[in-house]
Amino acid sequence: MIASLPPGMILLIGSLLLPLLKGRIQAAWLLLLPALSLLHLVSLPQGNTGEWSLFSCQLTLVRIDSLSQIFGFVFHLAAFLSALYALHVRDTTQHVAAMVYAGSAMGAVFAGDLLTLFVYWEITAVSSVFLIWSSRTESAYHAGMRYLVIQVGSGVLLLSGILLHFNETGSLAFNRLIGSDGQLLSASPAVFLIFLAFGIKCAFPLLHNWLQDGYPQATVTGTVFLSAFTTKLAVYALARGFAGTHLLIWIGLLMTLFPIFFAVIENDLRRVLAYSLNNQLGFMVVGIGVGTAMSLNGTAAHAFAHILYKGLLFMSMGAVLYRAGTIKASELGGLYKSMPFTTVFCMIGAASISAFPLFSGFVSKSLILSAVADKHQLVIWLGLLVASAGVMEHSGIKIPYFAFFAHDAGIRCKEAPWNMLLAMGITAALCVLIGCLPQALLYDWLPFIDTGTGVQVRAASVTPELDFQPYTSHHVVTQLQLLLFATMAFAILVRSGIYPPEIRSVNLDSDWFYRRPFLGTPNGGPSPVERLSTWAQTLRQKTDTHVLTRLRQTEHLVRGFCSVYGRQTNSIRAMVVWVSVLLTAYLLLYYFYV
Amino acid sequence: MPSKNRQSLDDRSNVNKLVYGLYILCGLLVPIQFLFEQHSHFAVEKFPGFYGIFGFVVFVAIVLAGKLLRRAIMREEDYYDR
Repeated sequence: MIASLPPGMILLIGSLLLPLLKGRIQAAWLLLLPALSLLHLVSLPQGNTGEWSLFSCQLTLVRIDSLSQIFGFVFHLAAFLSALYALHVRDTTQHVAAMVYAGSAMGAVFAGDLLTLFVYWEITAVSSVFLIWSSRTESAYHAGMRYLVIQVGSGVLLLSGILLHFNETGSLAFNRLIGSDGQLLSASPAVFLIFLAFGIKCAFPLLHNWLQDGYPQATVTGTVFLSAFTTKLAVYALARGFAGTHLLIWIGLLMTLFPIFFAVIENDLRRVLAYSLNNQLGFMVVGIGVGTAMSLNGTAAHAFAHILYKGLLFMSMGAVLYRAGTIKASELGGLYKSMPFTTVFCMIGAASISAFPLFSGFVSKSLILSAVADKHQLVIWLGLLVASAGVMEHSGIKIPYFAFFAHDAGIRCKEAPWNMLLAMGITAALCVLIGCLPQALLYDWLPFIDTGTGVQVRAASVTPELDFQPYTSHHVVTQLQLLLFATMAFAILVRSGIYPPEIRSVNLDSDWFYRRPFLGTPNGGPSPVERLSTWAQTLRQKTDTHVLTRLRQTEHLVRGFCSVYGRQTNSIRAMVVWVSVLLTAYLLLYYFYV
Repeated sequence: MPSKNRQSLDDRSNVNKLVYGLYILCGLLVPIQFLFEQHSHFAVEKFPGFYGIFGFVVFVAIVLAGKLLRRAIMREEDYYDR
């Protein structure tokens, strides 16, 4: 029976047991769930299973191919490592939410039809918000609400798109949705709605701010889970449905660029990581937009590597928040003395995301950049190079520098708990291993092949044929040049006092548009929304009074008329007259219109 | 104040050593590039030290742009709490 379960279902069902367990047994079960689920996944053969006919719809609950496999595999890895990181937490709500969230994200990746995808899509939204609410602060509650509204909004758009799509095509199958010309403008409104739903979860520019608003408000361990699943599920969905959509190249480029400026001036280091996450998604989206086998493989590889190093960075900042009690750059510094292991792990994550040779980001991002260069798209390529220098700034340097070095803020705390260190250690080791052995650990598992007639997801029997060598001396030297000269710029800027100091502040972003209307004036006056509501109330009262007066006048007129008529005749005669008038009117209408 | 620990980064001379080491490394990386075969896709890549100059200039530009952006969008920490 277990063999017929869809992937991820072990986590969904297994999480129901968590509230019944306590202490170490609960912790053990938490670790066992992703491990069991991974074993289950490995035992499943490629192909479609769980095919159902619901009314006239053909559903495919499970589709296992090399694309869903690579995302499913890294989701399991992330679930296990994040669970290990959260092992010390004694909060059943968080554990259940995390397991349901991870399980539904896995289910979504293996969904073969759009309706099944939608169901899992919504479960990820609803379960993940509890990781934000579990902080149990008022600001986390409000941030969670905003997050939920946007996530569920994405689900509503998705469902609308799916229903329209089904109406047009009669099929619910989740395959390539964009036409062969790759133009979104010539796609149907249904496809556009689905694109928008994916775009919200993928944090497209102007649809992005739920990420920077919500993630830094989640619990120490919750953010680590959050960083892995939602956005990469969207990347998977875009790669499946919208590979080769030209617009994605520009959307992706914008995504890589705009967050880097916000990250420079952001004081909350977990929010810096959220901007950085947005920037990394941009590289993946460009890869999907370019649409060649190499660029799509680059996207899959980058998603795989990214889940690990981004998780590692969030883990290290979580450990700082857990031990030092703050994550504001303006209050941190010098923590390398108290937390030496966390410092090293954070720097490995920083080196990976910055794409230093021998670290995972180098072998995955190079694929996307090479694919863009192969297409001779100079502007895009230069844009991605700018973004790469930006990554070096905010994730490569700013995160480790302001948390662990800079000036000694005098915080003396304990090193992170053993389970956090173990989780960070394993993740760091994986980042280095992937960077050193890219062929065996990453390239051999990449899903896309070029068949000559087009790019396809390869079958299990087909061996991948990625012809790419990241470690050429030219590539290594030029990359080191880019990164080390950027570091030199940092050193000069800091030593000359030009580098902007960290200041306790908030920076406005696109969330301002939907948060500002609810804010009162600084002296305690009403917010624009309150003023609008008061105005609407007054207007309604005025209208009510006006309408009531008119009604009373009309009533008065009718009563007057009836009383005059009534004096001349009795009520039965009046009724007969009225009935005859109505029947005549009916007859005339019938005569003219039927 | 010099620290007792000779490795400590509180000691400015240790930081200086690291920074000068970085400058030397950067200085070496430009000529090293020409020892190897180049595989450039774009003409601009052939410019000596292109990646280094690009990384340096872009980094400075990003930081300065960030400073400008701060003037436009930075608010008090309790901006959204009022």
